[in-house]
Amino acid sequence: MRQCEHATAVVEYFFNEMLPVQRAMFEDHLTHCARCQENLQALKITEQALNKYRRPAPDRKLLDDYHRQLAQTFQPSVHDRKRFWERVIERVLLQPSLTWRLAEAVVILVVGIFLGRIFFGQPADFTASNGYVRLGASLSVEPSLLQNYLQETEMVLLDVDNLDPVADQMVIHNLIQSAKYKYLVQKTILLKEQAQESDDQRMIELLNQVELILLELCNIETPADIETFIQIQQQLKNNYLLMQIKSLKQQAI
Amino acid sequence: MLNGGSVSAVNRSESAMDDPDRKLVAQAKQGDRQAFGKLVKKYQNKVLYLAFDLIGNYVDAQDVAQNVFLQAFRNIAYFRDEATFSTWLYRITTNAAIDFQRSQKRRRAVFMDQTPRDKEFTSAWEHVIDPDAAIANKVEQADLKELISHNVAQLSPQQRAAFVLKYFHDQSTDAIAKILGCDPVTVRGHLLRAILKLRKKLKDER
Repeated sequence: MRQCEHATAVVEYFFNEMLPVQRAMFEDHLTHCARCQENLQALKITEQALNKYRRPAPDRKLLDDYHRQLAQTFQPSVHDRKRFWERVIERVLLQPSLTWRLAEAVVILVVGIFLGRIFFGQPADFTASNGYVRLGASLSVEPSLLQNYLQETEMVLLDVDNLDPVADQMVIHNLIQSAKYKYLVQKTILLKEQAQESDDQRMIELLNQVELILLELCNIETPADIETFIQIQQQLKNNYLLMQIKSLKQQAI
Repeated sequence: MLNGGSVSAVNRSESAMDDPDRKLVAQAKQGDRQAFGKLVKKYQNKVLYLAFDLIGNYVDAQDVAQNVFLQAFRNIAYFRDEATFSTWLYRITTNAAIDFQRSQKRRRAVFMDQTPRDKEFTSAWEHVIDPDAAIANKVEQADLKELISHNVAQLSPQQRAAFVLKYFHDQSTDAIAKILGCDPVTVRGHLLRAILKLRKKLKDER
C-alpha cells in the first residue's frame, strides 16, 4: 500500500493540533483512506501501551550522587561567598548606583559631624554641668558683645553692692549715669527677648532679675533716695545675682 | 492543505515572554551562580530522565546530564529569547545524548543485536501493540519498561528524540521542532515513522 500524501496530518489530528475546519476535512479524508486509518490505529495503540508505561526509577544512591555533584558544582560555595563580598565592594565602591551614592553621602556626613564634635569641641547648645546654658547658646548675639554686656553689668552691680548709700552719694549718682549711658537696661531687654524666642527659661529668669534691678537703679531720681538704693542692694544679695553673672562670664571665657 | 496552519502554530507557539524562568535566566546571564544553581535544581531530574529515555541507562545518563548543565552554564550568555529555557535545555540534552550514542556506536551495535532475551521483549511488545492481543493488560509492568526502552533504543536518533519528547516528556510538536531544530511537519513525520517502524518490526518478528 502506498503512503498517503497526508500521512503526517494523522499525527496532527491524533494530538489534537488541528484547527476545527482542518479536523473536519481530515475526518472526511479518513473515511476513504485505508492508510491513514491504519496509521491512526497505530497511534492509538501506541498511546494505549504507553499509558501503562512507567519509567524505571534510578538507583537511590546514583540519584543522590548526581544531585550532590550538581550541587557542589553549581550551588554557591565558600569561594563564591568571597565573590559575593567582591561583588558588594564593587557595587558599593567601584560602580555605585544613585541609591548607594546617597547612602554613602549620608554616612560621610554623619561621620564628619561625629569627628567634628570630637576634634573641634562641643557644640554651642551643650549644657554646662552647673545647669546654665553655655554663653551665647540661646542668644543670637556675638559672644564678644555678650561678654561686654556681662562685664559692664557686673561692674555696675558690683559698685551697687559695695557702695555706702550714705557716704558715697556722689558715686551713686555717677553709677546711675553710667548705667544709663551704657544702655544696660535696653541691652538687657533685647537679650531677654532673644532668650524668650529660644525659650531659655534660666536665661530669661536671670535677665529679668538684672532688668528689674537696673530699672530701679536708673529710676532713682536723687542719690538722696537712700531707702531705694538699700532695697536694690538687698535684692542683689538675695538673688545671688553677681554670682550668677560671674559664673556665666567664666563659662564664656 | 491538511498539513497547513495548525493549532500548534496558532496556540502553542512558545514565547520567551511567558518563560517562568525568565528572571533566573537573566540573573544567570549576569554571572549569578546562585540563580543558575536554582535552575539546575529545578531541571536536574527532568534532564536526567530525558537523557535516560534517549540513552537507556542511568549511569551514562547521569554523565550526560552533568555535561548538559556544564554546557548550559558556559553558554547561557548566548541563550536567546527565541525559546523558553526548558526548550533550550532539552535541546542541549537531546544533542548531548545523540552525540554520546554516536561515540558509543560500536558498543551500541553489539547491544542492538537480537538476543534471545530481546526476542522475548519483542514478543511482549507485540502483545501490547497488537489490537488483537487481548493479553495486553496482563503484561507485567517490569517487562513493559524494558520492552519499551529496548524498542525505542532501536529507532533512529531523530525519531527516538521526537518519540521520547512527545510521549515521555509531554512536549508540544512546536517545542519538539525547536529542540530538534527542524520543522513541525518534519517532527510529525519522525513520530509517525517511529510508530510505524516499531509496529512493523514487531510484525516481522512474529
